[in-house]
Amino acid sequence: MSLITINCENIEKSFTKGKEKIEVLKQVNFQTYENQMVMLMGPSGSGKSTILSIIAGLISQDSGQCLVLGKSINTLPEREKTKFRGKNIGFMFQNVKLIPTITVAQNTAIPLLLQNVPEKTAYDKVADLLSSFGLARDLDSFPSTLSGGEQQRVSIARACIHKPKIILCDEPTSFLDSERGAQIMHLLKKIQEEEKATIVIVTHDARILSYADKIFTIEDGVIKEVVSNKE
Amino acid sequence: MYKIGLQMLTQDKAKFIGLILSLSFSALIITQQTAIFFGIMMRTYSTITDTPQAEIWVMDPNVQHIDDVNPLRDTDLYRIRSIDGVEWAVPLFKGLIRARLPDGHYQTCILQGVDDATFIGGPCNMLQGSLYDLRAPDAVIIDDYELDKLSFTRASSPVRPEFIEGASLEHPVVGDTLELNDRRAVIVGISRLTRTFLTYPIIYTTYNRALFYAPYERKLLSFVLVKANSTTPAEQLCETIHTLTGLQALTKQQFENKTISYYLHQTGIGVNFGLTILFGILIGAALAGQIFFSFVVSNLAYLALLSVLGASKRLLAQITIIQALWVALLSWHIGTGAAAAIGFATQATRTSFYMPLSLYLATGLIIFIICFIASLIAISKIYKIELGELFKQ
Repeated sequence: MSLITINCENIEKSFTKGKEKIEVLKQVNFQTYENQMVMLMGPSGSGKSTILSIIAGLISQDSGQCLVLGKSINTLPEREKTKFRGKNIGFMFQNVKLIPTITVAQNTAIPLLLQNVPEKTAYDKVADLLSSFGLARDLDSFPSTLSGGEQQRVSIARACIHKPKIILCDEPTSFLDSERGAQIMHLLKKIQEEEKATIVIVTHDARILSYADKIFTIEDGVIKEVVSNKE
Repeated sequence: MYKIGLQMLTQDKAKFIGLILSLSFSALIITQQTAIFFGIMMRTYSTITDTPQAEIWVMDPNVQHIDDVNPLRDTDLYRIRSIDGVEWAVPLFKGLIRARLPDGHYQTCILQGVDDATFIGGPCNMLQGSLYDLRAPDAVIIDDYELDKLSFTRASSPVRPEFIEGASLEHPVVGDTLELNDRRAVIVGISRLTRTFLTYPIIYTTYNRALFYAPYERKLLSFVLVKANSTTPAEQLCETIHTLTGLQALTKQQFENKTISYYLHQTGIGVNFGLTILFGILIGAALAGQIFFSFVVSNLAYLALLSVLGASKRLLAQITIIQALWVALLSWHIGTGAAAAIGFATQATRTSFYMPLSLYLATGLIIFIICFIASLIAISKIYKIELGELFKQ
């Protein structure tokens, strides 16, 4: 039986804008398992990114409970939360978010260096991984010299270099053409299967839905529909 | 991670260069102005520096600084010589005199009369001739720093060469004759000592000949130079001399400090230079603080990213401090290096420049404090990063 990696129950979250209170998430229930690719779909402002932020411990829910690998991440002290996140969660952002002033290898090595992996070991691992991603020649390049697809591959490498159990992706294919989008999804699928990782993808891109094991559709802060491709 | 932090700093070339330039400029201003101030202050007591044999200077109780001469009685010399603990005591004459140059023009000079027997108080560094040449009749030694002021024309025309096309002034040489108070003085040597604050040419001769040249006064003994014997500390001997004679007796260091104190408090030098240095610090701090702060703010998204990827706020603060210290280290050396280069390039000119190790270190300390404060302000921003925004950007 697969292990539950994320278990969110009755999550509620609201923000205040001036005097107005906006309810972003209403009684959201959400479960993921290891070796599973989950996609969250929904219109802008529906609360998809807020769910990712709560899972990552970047913001706290107002009520409900969110267990990540069995731990209530948002109740951990700040230092432990950061450490937990650094070790167990990988991130891919919509606009890649590579640091432009450091090299591709350095960008990719950050999660390892933050876990005090010796520099040489870290960069050796980075070189191996980037080679397998077809980026062996770009180790010492700066991100701005790479194409959008290459930057996204570096972003995946950074997300999985430290073999996290969960990878959170925010619109990973939104600015790529179908071919490059498919390449990225193949890579993510490969990582999911090899590392038995849980991959949570927030997307608008209908082209990639076929890669998902489970699809949650969110509207107005409520999960409206759950489709399981495996079933 | 620190290496990556430094690379984030240095690869942002425009901001990095702006930071380095502003702080280097601040370090340059602080070092250069202070070094000039030190140089000027050193010139105020150059006579004391250039008389290394004297451990103690005895003078009238009202003397405020080395150029403030209130003459003593001749008998004071003998009274001092009779005090226990005095190894030797010699007279020194110091005063202003007008020298008439061979072409008939005049120049005010400092006349220094040194002990006839030992030449203590005389120049230690001779470029031409010897100190012992002062034994010759009418002999004087002139200092080469202000030779321009003793320059004259050898042409018979009474008109100064600056008014005659093609003519030029020549420096005096050994063998040339001057007139001091209508009395003949023959140049027998040229020395090179420390430049003086007053920038008058210095003329050395023996004490008795100096009295002969000097305008007549009842008392002409300016200072008594004293050396304590090996068993008596100089400070203790100063007290004894003061108690027994009522005269002011100061060690070399005390007299230097008293002279500096006079110029600092009785002239505007201290305040004027102090303000310049203060503005250097303030401008540097404001520029560097502002640029460093904007550098951190422009990098906040990346610092937030590092935080999401597992960097603690403490680590981010440490990275920011290391970035600031690196900027400080570079700027400190560029600024002080530039100041030293300016000092070196202008050493042959009238510019006074003295840059001791303590000034180099003090400038570094100031620059490090500026950067540290700038980094603390920036760190306060890091602690307010909203990580939740990262998925929305």
